[in-house]
Amino acid sequence: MKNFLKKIFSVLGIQGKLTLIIILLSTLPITLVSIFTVNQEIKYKQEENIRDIKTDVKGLSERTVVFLTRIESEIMLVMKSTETKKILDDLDHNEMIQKQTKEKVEKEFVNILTDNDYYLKINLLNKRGKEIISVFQDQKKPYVVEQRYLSKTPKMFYVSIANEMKSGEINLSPSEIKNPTSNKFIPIIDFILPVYNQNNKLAAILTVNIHAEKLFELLVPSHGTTSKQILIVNGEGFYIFHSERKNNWNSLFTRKFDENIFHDYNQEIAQNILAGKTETTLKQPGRIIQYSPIFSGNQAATNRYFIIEDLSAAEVLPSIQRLKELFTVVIIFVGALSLIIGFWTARRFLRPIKQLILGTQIIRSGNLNYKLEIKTQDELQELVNNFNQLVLEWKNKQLLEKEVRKSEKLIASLTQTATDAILEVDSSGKIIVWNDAASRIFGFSKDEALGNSVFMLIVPERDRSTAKEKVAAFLKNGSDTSLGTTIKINALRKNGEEFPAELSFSSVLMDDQLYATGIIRDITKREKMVADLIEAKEKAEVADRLKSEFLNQMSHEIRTPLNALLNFSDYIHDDLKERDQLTDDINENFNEVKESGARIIRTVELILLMSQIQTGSYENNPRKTNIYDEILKPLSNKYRQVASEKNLEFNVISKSDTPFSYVDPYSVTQILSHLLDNAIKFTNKGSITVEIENNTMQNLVVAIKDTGIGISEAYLPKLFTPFSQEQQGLTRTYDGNGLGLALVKRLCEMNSISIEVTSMKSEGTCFKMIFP
Amino acid sequence: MKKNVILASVIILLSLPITSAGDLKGKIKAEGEGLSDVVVSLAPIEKKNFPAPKETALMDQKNLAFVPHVLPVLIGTKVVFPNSDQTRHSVFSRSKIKKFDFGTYPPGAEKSIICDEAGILTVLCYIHHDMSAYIVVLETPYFAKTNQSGEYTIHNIPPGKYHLTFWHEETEIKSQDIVIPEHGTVTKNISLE
Repeated sequence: MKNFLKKIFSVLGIQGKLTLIIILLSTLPITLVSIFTVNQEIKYKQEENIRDIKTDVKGLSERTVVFLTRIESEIMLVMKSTETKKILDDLDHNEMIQKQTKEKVEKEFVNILTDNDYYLKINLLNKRGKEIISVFQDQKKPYVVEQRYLSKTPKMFYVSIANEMKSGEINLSPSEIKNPTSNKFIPIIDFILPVYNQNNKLAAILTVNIHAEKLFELLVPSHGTTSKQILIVNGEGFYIFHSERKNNWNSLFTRKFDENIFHDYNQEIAQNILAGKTETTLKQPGRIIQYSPIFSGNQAATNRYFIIEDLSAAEVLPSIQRLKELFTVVIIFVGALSLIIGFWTARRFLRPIKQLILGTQIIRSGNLNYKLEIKTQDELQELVNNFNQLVLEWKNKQLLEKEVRKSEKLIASLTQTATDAILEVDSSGKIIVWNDAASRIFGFSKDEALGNSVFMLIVPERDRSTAKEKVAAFLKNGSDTSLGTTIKINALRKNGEEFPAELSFSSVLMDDQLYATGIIRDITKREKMVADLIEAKEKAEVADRLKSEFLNQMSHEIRTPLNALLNFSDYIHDDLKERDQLTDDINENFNEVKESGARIIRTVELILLMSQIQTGSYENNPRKTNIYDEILKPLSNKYRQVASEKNLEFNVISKSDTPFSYVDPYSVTQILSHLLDNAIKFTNKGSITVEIENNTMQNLVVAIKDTGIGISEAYLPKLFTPFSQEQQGLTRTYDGNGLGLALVKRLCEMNSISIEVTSMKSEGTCFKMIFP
Repeated sequence: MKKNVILASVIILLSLPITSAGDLKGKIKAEGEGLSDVVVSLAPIEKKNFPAPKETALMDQKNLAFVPHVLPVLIGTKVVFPNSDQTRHSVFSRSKIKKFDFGTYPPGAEKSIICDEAGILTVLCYIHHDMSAYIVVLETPYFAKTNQSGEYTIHNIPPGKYHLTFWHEETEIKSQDIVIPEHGTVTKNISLE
């Protein structure tokens, strides 16, 4: 059901309760008012009609009374005649009635019958119920029953009733008789009138059979074509008269349950009718029923009468029917109109609201750049404007919050991962922030630290008052000399140990409250390391100095005796030569001595030079130098001699007109000497070529090429490392200490000479120097 | 049940002294003609209680009349009032010995009363005012009703002294004592005024 309604609503375009409410609000009041108005009108009309019915029934009752009175007076008039009195007298005495008198009374009765066709029969009974006079009419013709045809059986019913009646009462008893010719039952109303003599004793009984149908037709006015029913029932609820079924009296009297108000009306109405109530009821659906007792009888149930007027509400109240039609039209019209208004209102007010909803959805989904565009020029517009403003503010706030969160995260992360203790205290020194590093450094856990005084916790007792004053001053002024700077303090661990620390201060203003943030670094280890370093440096400096001195001294100590040895060996050589005692073998030995000595001196000089460079005592004095004339020329003279001893060609090719450079000539001499020494040493055949020229950058370039053993590619990078030669150990073919090239490299660096080497194993090597 | 009834009957028969009984018969005249519907009854002078009969008596309604018009019954008899007519009836009585009102009931329906007091019961109908009937409730089972010729017969009357009573709706009750012999028939003709 709910789903079905939802479906219908969605088809109608009603989505959401608000739409429905607006539609209902704009539809219901008008509809309700019109329903109420029309209903009031119908009610009024209905009441008017009911009043008419009441009047009808009342009129019927009144007419009945009038009618009865008329019948009574008619009959009583006869009874009061002198003839009747005579009959009564006769009855009182000997029961013999004079024929003449009898005939006169009979004639009176016949007159009554002739005048009114609703009189069926008039009987005069004696007090024991025996018929004395009987007059009846059939087919509008009156007959007098002859003496011999009078009933022999006493009419005990009338005797019984009459004996119970009081003087002046009339009993009306519904009854039926059978028409002897047609064999049909005729409903009658029996008037029973006890007749009293002068002594007020029952003398006779007058009974009048009145044709019920004819009587009621007289009483009940015709209502044309309406379905108004006039019913008269007895005390048991049986129909005595039924305006609809009057043509079928036989069935009316033979079938009990069908012809009873309990069969046709609901229990309550039927009971009220028989209880003698006078009222109008609408309790029978579709009917208007008015009922009232008539013929005030107080006898047995069958002898009581009730009149019922029953109308079909719809048929009898055509005006109400018309009103109802009008009502339907009005309701449909008003309903439709108000529905249209409702839809219009809903559209008018809900479209912006829907847009608002959509907007909020879009914005909620994260699109804060969405802007609602509604132009209604009313409160909604204002709402939307405010909404847009709100979204903008929110967006800014969100961005801000995002930044704040980011920085908070960063700070938290920094704080927690920092190796330094980070803490924050309020103006009283109470700890608010305490990071993991703080716990590690000071030994207090976060729980132990937070909320406690920073002074009591981590400041040594003797510094506390000073620290307090400082923090107070800092927070009071918002600045301090320590702010932004790092000061050294003494801090206290949980175990009571004091340690040196660095403290950085800063202040934060939050909610009008100043807080101090401090970063404390435990510098115990650093302090120790610095001290150790200084000590080590001092030791190293001393050792270096000692080494240089030692080396100098050692060189000197080696060179001096060696020179002496060499000089004396020369002296002995020369002496032997003068004496011509110098044989080839001895000469060879002298040469060996001389060579070895020179080698030692060269090595020592190298070590000395290296030592001088390393200790910084080497004096490098650059000046404008003619590399060719001042250095290369004298060197080539010397090395041409050496090369020739190994049968090597030695060429110097100068292609430069300006072989100048700003270098230290001693250093360059050393460099070239070493390179030429090496070239000759590692070349066994072929040539040594020295080229000097200016490159495109006008730098002087000196290249020394040999056709020696060459250097393997793998060894080239290690070439300038001290104490290295390609071949190591006892197997090496060439003497040398590996210091030479290292020294060359250092000297080149000192004079801004760039040196590079190219070599091919077994083909030769080329050292190229580019001078500054 | 049937067995019990037979047994009870045997016991009753055995308990009764096997005596001889007489009959009473006669003719009742009024104004020289035989008078019908006269109830003739014999009540033992020595008062005696008779058990209520098991058989019910019938007061039918046919053609707008009670049938019979006069119904004599022994006290304690149940009288049923079937409606055998074409129309409804509303039978009632306002007699001193018993007042009842059956209300209206349709053809085919049946009502009943038990006549538990001796006397005359006038039965009437509210709808049909000419209808009337009499139930004569007697304290003796020895009764008869005169036929159209005014004749009556009471059979098997134990011998003894009795009050002989005549009742007719239009006359007063007449009573005289009578002796019923051991055997034979007593004839009693009466002329009512």
